[in-house]
Amino acid sequence: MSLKAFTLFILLSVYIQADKLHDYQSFFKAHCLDCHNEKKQKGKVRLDNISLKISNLEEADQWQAILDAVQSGEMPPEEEPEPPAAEKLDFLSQLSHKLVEARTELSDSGGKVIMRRLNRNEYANTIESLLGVKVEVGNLPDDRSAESFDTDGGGLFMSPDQLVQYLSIARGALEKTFRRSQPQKITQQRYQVEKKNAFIKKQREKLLNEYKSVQAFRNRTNQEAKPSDFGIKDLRATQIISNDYKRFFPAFERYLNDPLSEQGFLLALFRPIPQLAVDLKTQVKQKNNPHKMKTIWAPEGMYKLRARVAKTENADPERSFMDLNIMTDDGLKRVDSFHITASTDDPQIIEALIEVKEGSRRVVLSEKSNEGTARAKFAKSRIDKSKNYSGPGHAVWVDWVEWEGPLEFNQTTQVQKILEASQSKLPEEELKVFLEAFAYEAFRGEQANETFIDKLINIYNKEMQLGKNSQEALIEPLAIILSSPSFLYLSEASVDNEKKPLSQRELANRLAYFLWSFPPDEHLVSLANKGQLKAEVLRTEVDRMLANSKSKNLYQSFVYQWLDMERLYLFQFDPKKYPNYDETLRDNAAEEVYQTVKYIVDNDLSTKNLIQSNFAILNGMMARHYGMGNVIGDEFRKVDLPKDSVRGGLLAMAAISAMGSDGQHTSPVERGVWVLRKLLNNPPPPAPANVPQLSRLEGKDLTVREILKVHQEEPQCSHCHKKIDPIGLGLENFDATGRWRAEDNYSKKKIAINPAGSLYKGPSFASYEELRAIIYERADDFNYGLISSLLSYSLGRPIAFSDRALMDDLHLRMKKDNFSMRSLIHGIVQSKEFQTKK
Amino acid sequence: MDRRYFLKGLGTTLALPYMNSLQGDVKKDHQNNKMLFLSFGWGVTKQSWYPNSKQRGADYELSEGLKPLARHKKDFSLILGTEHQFNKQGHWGSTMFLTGANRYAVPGQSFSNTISCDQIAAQAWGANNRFSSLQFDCAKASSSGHGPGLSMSWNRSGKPMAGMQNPVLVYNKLFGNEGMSIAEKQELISKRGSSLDAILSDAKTVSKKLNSEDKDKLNEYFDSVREIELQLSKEQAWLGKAKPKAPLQEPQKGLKGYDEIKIMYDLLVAALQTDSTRVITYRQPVESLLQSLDVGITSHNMSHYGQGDRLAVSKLRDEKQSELLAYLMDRMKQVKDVNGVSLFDSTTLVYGSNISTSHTLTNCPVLVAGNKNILKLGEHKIMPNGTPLNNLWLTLLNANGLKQKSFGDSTGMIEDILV
Repeated sequence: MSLKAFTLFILLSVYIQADKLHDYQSFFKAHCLDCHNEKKQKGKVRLDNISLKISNLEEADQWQAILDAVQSGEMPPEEEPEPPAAEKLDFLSQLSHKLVEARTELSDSGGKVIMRRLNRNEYANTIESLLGVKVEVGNLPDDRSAESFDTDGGGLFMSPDQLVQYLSIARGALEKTFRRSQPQKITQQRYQVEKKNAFIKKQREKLLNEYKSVQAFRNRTNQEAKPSDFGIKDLRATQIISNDYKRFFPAFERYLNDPLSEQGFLLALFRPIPQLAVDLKTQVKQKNNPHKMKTIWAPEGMYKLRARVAKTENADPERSFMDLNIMTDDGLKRVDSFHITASTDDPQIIEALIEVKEGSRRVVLSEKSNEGTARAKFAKSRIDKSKNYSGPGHAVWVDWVEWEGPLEFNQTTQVQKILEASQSKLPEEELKVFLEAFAYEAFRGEQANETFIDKLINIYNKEMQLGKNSQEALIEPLAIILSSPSFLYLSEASVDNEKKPLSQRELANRLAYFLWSFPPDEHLVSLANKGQLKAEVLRTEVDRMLANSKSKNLYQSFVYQWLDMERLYLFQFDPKKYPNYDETLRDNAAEEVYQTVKYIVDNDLSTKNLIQSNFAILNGMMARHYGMGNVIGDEFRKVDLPKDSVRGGLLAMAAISAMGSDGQHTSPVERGVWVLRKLLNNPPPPAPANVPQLSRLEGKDLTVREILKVHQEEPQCSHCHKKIDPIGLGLENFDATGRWRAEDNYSKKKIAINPAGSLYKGPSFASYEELRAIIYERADDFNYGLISSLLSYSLGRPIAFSDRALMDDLHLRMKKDNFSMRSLIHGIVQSKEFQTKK
Repeated sequence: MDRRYFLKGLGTTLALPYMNSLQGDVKKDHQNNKMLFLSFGWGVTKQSWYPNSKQRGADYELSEGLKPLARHKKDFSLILGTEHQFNKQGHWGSTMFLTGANRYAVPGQSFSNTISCDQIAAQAWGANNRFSSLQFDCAKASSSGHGPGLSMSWNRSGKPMAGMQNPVLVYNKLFGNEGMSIAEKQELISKRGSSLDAILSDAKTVSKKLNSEDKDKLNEYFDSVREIELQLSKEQAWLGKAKPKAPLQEPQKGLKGYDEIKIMYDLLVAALQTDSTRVITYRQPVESLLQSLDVGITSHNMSHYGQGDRLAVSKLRDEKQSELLAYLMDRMKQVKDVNGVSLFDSTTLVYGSNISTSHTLTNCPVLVAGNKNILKLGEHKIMPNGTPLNNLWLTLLNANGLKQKSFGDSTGMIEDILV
């Protein structure tokens, strides 16, 4: 329900309250009060004196327990008559919606913004902006939860172990800063990848020789002879070798017979030669013994990695994507992916920035495919050409790989000062000035107290006494600054029970973390220092900040949480069913969502484009996934859609479809719930825990529609599912990965999908397009949801009924500006709430 | 700011704030008791793990999923039918398993937790051991269905306690010198103490400019500092005492899944055996267990089993987990503690999850074993519908001499499971 509708609801409810009260009370009277009354409080439950005016958490819990008991069929007990279905339905429906409202109402902080800790992302960004290095934050809590944004102080906790982590991450970051600051010679190395041929030939020879031994064993004249007499481990090994030979020898042959392998490397889908691994090292002659070679590993730092690549002739366009991965302590990590479209006559050069460090000195180029999907594609191609054991041919060819680095370390102002201070032991006065200045910067414009600085000086002196050098001795004092509350918390000065306008610097901090998840830059700080962050200047500043690349944090962080995109990462997809859907595609699908919202903000377009639009923001990979072959390259760009296209808008995006599936099948329930929550701003009650899966239907050949019919049989299901299921079924033309389909498979039977249905007590639709049009008509509801979410994210607190006036204002303002999301951002920043601490 | 937050000269005159103070709470005959809690995230297979509900008491048949435990049947009881009324999070198998907290209990916060029952034991017993308690854990616990948290344990303020995920690190913590001499360690402890002291001075400055709600928030920070101080003072107290000799070899690096659980079991046996601690919790990996069994699907996918492949994997998971537990019981029966008592007979072993199956949080699968001096073993118990799981924790705490009137939302003891 939109807030406006809710206002109406409250007004109306004044008149109909008598009726409403009557509803649940008469239900109690008819079915509950015999056992749960003043005298006979069976199970210690009394219902004759309980009111549906829920005013605290305890009452909410009590009503939740009642709802759960009736919903699960636990009450009324078996020996008592079951309430008529319609009555039960009304009761459950009324109660569950009341509870959704009550939960929102109870989370109303009355506009209070609780001081918050930097969340994990902001913390990493803030360290990076001070010290110029990226830090590993995997050991800190994720901070993103389904219930509130990771900017909500109430949900951002501190624990002892976390504090220990902050100290240790800060020490590590400082050490890294010192290492990276050492002067390095930039070198450029090129690796001619056909050097791998020697190894490949060796592998082939090995397999061939083993197979010859197996043949010899099989043709033996002496039946007593054992496999080991032929150099084979045992009987099992003969089988393995002969299978490997059958599968892999043709692949070796094909590889080495291909003239392209003489000048480069051919990637393949599957063993034996799937990927190209290159170690970032060089071999140089030893100084004192020129006959011996010495390995020199690339020193740590940032590198430019380039590769010259092309697609092979007649390559399957589905396979024209290459992943660039780097080895880490946690295994192989994808850095980037590339659309490979150049021919071998005129290859393309791809480039990526990589971080080389201990344990991360191996880059791996591979076709876009994880092992599962590669195996599936491989199997599929073998079915196509049943006798070809070598699988599909090569699609991507690599000419060479080169790396350049370590690139000059970009020293931030603070790093320059730290380096200066670490030259030699500082006299106490200078040390004090330095620490105060660093703390002022790290504390975002707050002075550190003198005792604090004195203690840091003592620690520095102690370290020097213990024989540390002037650089090492600085680490602990600086790490302490970076683990202190003034750094870790966005602490705005506040007074009990009073609204206080933010200081200019506090406003700058709030703004920078809202739009960038980074601390303010020099420009923003200087405006704040001059007291100019007001009205038009503030507006110009917001526009400047949105144009800055740091604003990608707004999209990745806010949009991910607003749209509940966590679900995208919950399931792995069945590679046999969806050989194209792997982690690379999934990440690109998420990027499509972020890029679309960004495009709408950047171009001051209407948010209605998120429901339906005549364009999509795609790159080569996503366009290929949707069957649109004319988009080339990796960057996302606007693609105009034909009039009758089903694409355009969130519902047609692969990410949204995939979030509404379990990796095997679509889940109309998940999709319907998502539409109600995110597009129609009419969230159904949370799914009751402890609902049995519809297992009695398992194994029967039923369509999704038939299965979901079960929901209509029981009132405890139908009171929510009658709203959810029709919407989800209307989206059935999108398969689990967002590809369009006209039919679904049921145990090898194809059944045409029928998306028709109607919204609960609303219009009916015959197709996805008609459903989309109905949702488009309700864009006001969508925008109310967006406003409430963005407001909550930006203010760092839950949004509740006390924010109604502000939300109405923002909505009006947006409407005036053609539903521009940029206008909404301006509106929020200009609002009194954003500029006040309460 | 309370004076007690101050660390005064950590290196020299540090008093142990709680040492000996709680001794009186431990009854003489419970002085050798130990508690061990294991949890396994995504629950079990409903149709094949739970025994026939008609067969109760000692005379029941082991289900398919529990078959590997047959040789220990007389030495464990199944306590089924309980639940935590507040936890409705289908992916949270361990977050509230030992607490039963209501995540919404604190207004304006989307998450809060309370002390876990193992920490009640740790607080009472811990003073006499090098480690008050130990938390064993697995990598990427949320993909194993454990939910938020850093281990099964939550401290007295309801904040997560970090767990150790790497068997080699556990080994070093228990038996190694962590690459430092005593003098170096001493230096490190006093350095950490000074750092905390400096940090506190900034915290006090911040606190001054805040309203009362924000001060409350900052108290989490003060509490954290205080907890670390306590940990440091404990390390300080044990500094001079040599670590026990390791009863096992240093684990191989890189063990994952099945072998990882097995070595962690060996390590927790070694920790109890050497009296390094008397309280341990362990969030077992489910995700990497499946990977090590090479079944090709993730554990979350498995938890949504219906029929077919996913169900087969789910049953295999039950079988392997029971097999491992049977191994743990074997080991605990073989080994004697420092007082010469069988480790098994002096330990209350709890094995279970808040999730029963798929995303269902009722009828929690819980098995208790070990200490036959206090526990009635060999039985299949089904509690009346809606019995709080906290009743079980309350019962086990009291049975171990840790007198508690209530625990969380407990409504009473389950006397029936005690001898």
